[in-house]
Amino acid sequence: MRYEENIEQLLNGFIDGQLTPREQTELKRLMRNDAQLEKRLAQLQKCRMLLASLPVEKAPDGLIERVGIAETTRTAFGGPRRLSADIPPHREESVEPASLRQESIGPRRAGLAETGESRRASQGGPAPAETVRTGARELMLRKMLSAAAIILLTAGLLVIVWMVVSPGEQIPKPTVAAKKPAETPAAETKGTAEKPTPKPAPTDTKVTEAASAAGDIKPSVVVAPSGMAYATKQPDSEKAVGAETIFSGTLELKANKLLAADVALKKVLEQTLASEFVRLPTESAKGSLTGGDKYVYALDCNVAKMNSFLAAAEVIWEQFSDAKLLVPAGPEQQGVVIDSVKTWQIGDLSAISEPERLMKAANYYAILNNSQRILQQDDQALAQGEEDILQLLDKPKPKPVLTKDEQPVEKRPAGPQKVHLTIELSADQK
Amino acid sequence: MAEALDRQIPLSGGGFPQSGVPVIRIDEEAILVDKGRKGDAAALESLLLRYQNRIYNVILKICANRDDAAELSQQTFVKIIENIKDFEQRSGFYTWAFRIAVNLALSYRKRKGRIVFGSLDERSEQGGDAKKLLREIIRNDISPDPAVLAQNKELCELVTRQLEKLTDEHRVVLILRDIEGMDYAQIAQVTGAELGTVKSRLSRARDALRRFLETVV
Repeated sequence: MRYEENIEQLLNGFIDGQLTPREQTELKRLMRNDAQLEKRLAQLQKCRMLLASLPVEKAPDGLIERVGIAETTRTAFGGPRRLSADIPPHREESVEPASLRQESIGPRRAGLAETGESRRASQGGPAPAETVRTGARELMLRKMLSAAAIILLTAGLLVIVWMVVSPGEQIPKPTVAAKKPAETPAAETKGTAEKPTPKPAPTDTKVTEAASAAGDIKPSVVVAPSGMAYATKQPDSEKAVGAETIFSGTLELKANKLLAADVALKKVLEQTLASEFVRLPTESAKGSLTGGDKYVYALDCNVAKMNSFLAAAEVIWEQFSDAKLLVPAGPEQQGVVIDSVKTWQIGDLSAISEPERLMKAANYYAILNNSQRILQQDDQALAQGEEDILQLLDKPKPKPVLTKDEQPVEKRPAGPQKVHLTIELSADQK
Repeated sequence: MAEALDRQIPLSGGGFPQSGVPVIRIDEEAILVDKGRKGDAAALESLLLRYQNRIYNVILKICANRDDAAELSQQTFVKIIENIKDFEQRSGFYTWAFRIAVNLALSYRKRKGRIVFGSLDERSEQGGDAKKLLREIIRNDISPDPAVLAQNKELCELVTRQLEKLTDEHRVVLILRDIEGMDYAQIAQVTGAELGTVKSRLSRARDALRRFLETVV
């Protein structure tokens, strides 16, 4: 195939007189040995002759006159520019067909070729200079309209952005459960178990409206992340500003020896919490020299101090015949009562910052303690039975094996987080 | 430029300038081009008048329609006038002008699509004598006078129809070479193709035309 192409090009070069003497000699040698080659050469020469014999037609009369050389030259060489004169400048080596425009064709046939100026001239239109001015005005008008539209759009966009990001307006207003200023903490704790107050502050909350000035009776509003709000205890001092109460509960303690237990409890409180607890007056204490049959303490401290108190209270915990923790209801949960609550359980719960987890843990401890109480009775029977069997078999009692503490250890949240615990100590009536 | 001064360019006719055809010396053309570049309308008119027939015929052979050829010729003239101030004379004026004309014609062809030809079978009966003559020319070893052939309108029409069957690329190189008499380098300048491409296209175009003509006879 390549050979054939070369031969063909040699033949054509020979016809056109473009071959070098050496190529001509080579071709003649080839043709002497190949009669077909000579025949092809003859046919190609005849084709060329036929083409060359095609008649040359004369251009139509007035072809150049219709172009309007003088006018076109004047326009092309600095005269009034046509509106269609934005034809890209011709470059000698790159005349692209696509860059050619219909407007620059002479007015020979309507609809296909007509110069802008000749069209205007034939229609008696305005002079080119006037047309240019009109075009410039239109262009300016379009630019101004475009600029106005852009400004309006930008302004609208800014308004929308401001509406989205502006503080306060678009955030759903939290429901504020206002607390009467005169209400005392004792009144708050009263009847907590039956009807938990909305006071408990959810965790991970932020104070949106702190007490702005001393004596301001407006309740502070704590807004939960979901937008729910609760009334919190009115801070007594500026120390409370910024601190959030992550846990609030009521611990009901019962003791057979009320006075002794109260003394011990008060001592522990004084040792661990110093001034961060108050003893509240009760109805039964009025007119009673001994203080009545019920003592109420309100504790407001941080988690660390609460843990210190609970650790110290572990020593006196045996003095209480019953310990019951009331975890008040959250916004969407029911309150939980944990019987036979342990100090470490209170510590764990007071450190949980999320309301949902708090309620889950409280439920878990409530079930656990109830189960243990039931199992304890069985264990006593089993232990008795086991001892009997061991005595019968004369085998040593198996030693207890230390097991890993499986209780989850809550990480103490950092920051000024406070816990509130109301302790109601009363005499065991049983 | 100096060595080209002696070159003579036919003002009309094809690649076989006949006796009596007026010619324009290259130095005269250069003077006209210089004047034209400065905005001399008379010089431009003189140049265009000298080349208008050739430009018109090249376009006519490409687009195969007289009205369209006339319009495209006018468009070529306008383009020449508008752009001659940027013409750097690195090539001959007529090569440059032909480049504009050929590009306009090819662009027009692309816009308009393929040329719709009349059926050759319909014309076969009319061109019976032309076919007989063509057969004799192609198959026998006779070499008639081109001037005599040019007078046979039927034969010319038959050949023109075969020429129109070629692709645009092949037709353009054949027209420029065999009708306009341009050399390979000038064809390369006009078409914007490489020299080797021009040779290859020319070879294939002639071979294709030869086969078309053989098919007819």
